[in-house]
Amino acid sequence: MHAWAGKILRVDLSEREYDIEDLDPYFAKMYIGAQGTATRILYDEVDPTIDALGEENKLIFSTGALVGTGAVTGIRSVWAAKSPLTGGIAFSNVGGYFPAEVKFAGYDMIIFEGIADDPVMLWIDDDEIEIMDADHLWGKDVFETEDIIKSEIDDPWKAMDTRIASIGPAGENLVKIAAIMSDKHRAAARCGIGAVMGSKNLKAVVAHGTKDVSVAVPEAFNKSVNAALGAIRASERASKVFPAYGSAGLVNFYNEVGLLPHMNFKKMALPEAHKISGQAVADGYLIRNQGCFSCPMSCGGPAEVKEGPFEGVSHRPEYETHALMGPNCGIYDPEALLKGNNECNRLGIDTMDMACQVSCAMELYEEGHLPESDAGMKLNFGNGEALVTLIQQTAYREGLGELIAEGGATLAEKYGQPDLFIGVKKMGYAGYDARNAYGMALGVVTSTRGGCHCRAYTLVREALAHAFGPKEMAVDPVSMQGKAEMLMMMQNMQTALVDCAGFCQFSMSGQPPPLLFPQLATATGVNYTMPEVVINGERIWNLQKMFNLKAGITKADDVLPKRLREEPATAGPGKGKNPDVETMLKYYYMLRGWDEEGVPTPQKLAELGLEGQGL
Amino acid sequence: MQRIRIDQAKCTGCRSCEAACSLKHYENEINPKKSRIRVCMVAERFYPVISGPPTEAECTSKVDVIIEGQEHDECTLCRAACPSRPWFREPDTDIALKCDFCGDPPEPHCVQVCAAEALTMVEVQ
Repeated sequence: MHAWAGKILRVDLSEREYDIEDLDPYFAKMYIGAQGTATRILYDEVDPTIDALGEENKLIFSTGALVGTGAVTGIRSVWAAKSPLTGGIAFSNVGGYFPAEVKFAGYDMIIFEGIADDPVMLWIDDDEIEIMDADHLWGKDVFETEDIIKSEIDDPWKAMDTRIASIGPAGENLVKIAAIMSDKHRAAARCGIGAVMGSKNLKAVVAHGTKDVSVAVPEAFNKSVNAALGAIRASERASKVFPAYGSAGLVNFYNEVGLLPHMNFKKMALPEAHKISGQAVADGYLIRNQGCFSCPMSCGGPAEVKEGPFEGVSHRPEYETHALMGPNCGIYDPEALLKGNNECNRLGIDTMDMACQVSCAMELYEEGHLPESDAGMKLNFGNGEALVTLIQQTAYREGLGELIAEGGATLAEKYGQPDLFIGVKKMGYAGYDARNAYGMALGVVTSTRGGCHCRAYTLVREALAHAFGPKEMAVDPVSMQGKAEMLMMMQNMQTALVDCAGFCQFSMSGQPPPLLFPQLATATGVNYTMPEVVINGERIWNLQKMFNLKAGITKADDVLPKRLREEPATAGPGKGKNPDVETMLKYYYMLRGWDEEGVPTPQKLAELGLEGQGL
Repeated sequence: MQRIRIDQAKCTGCRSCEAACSLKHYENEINPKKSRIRVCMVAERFYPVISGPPTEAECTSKVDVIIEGQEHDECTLCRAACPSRPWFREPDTDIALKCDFCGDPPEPHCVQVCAAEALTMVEVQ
């Protein structure tokens, strides 16, 4: 096989044994990699009704097909399981260096089964696999864990080439918004995936690999890589804005068009946003850029706050963290944002869900539902120190952290206001106010993993194309016309050609699908056509939907938060209105070949080669 | 005469150069551990190092250098394939690897893929 390593490492934590299986070439072709291959294995092997934190859940690390090939941004991979947060399917996307090291060790996927009786870590050094005691690491934060593991490697050169994924105290304490961190600052954040790792008593996965990854048609592959690099160099956004300001370079723009949420989605388009933009962080705090393996855009990098209460070196946050931990918490101080981001990374928590919980707590407090005596502090909007304290309390399940750690509306319900938690399927809402982009409204509602924006980034056409081109791609953001079609196409295409292949979604601003496809085809050598790849995306999407339906997630869960349904937009193109998701949803289900309840019909499943997989 | 210029401050640690180098020198393989350029990572800084001729023995003296307040083992920045470290040797055969400029005239693939322009070709009299 080319591009794929061709092996799956299956680890039984209960028995402390492992097995190495072959990756079936037909399976690889159909499910490509990352969330695709992981979805099919979860669907076949995990009962969707089980306890996500119990012994029967499986935790899967699955690399994108092109990871390690040097394809442009070919590094993205997923951690997948049944989610303890949403109860549905979980897959959390991550880059950095760790995924490539796993591939160079010779594995496309690692499947963890069972529960270890004591804390363990998995060591992968090419063919040498060891399940080792990790008692001395339990309780340590993510940064300490990586430093200790590396310090225990005798050869400093090998230590430099060794990559680690681990959980912090949040994952250990089964916090349902915990992340799996790798390379210290790269997060597989969403869906509470870190709690699954914690429930298995798995503290860390350590990888070192010296094997080859091959490509099928090297000259054509090289050409396709150079074509993509050329296109990225020619793109102002990909080659200038992203490296300079990260994805948060869009904070100011999204604020102007009413997409950036403020104060728990109560307000929009406030002028203070510029204080906490990507530009502000880059100009004031960024030390240098850092890119993931084979990424020319380098949106990350260390950032330093030199003095004051938020002093310390952290990592530049991306847009979602800016939006949700910043303006959506009424915080316009970049130093508080950097500290909050760093505490989440250090303790292993999803910044997005954490920030959604904090903004909810702040509104509960300001509206008088949550008394100061319960919080133990003032929780006013804009209170950066409260943000940091709540993050720490959540990791250790102390104070309000005990409620926040359960995720979803748990905290909001406790204080009698469940609708003040802004989320979908118990997952905190992404940092784009749906009242000013109806395609995104439908996208977040239909995402197979909860309140997530990144299964189909419709804003490329609903917002970015208006300002940055290409103009012919621009569509009216607050019209329902054509949104279901557009969304479905993007979901199918993005799932297969971007996520499963291992490309980074950020790179699409420079390398559109026609430049991605040749890299996938020439590296794998699979005789794909682009429509076939997109159909693979549709198949994967339907399997994820089936998993969720079997887990009990239904049409009733495909809803926008009440605030976005009922309180009209105060600014932007949608001013005075709300999106009518219910109407769009009916049409979307029909287009997808699902019935009125959003259940894939037997005909649709048969068409996708999934006969007999119905409810 | 052409030279490769490394601007350490511009390197983002993306290691595209490692991937491109190995693909250039092997039939269809990508493997950073077989690359003639490695990005050394120390304290979140990145130092691309391009391999020179191999050496049979380690240096007798050991040297630390301080660059902008950060202490480095000088071996980190050395170009030799040397017994003191695994770099610039094929992991399975131990054959030493030396940068060959990707031919004559030089067209180094590492430079071609360096989007950050940490690696550039310069003409020197």
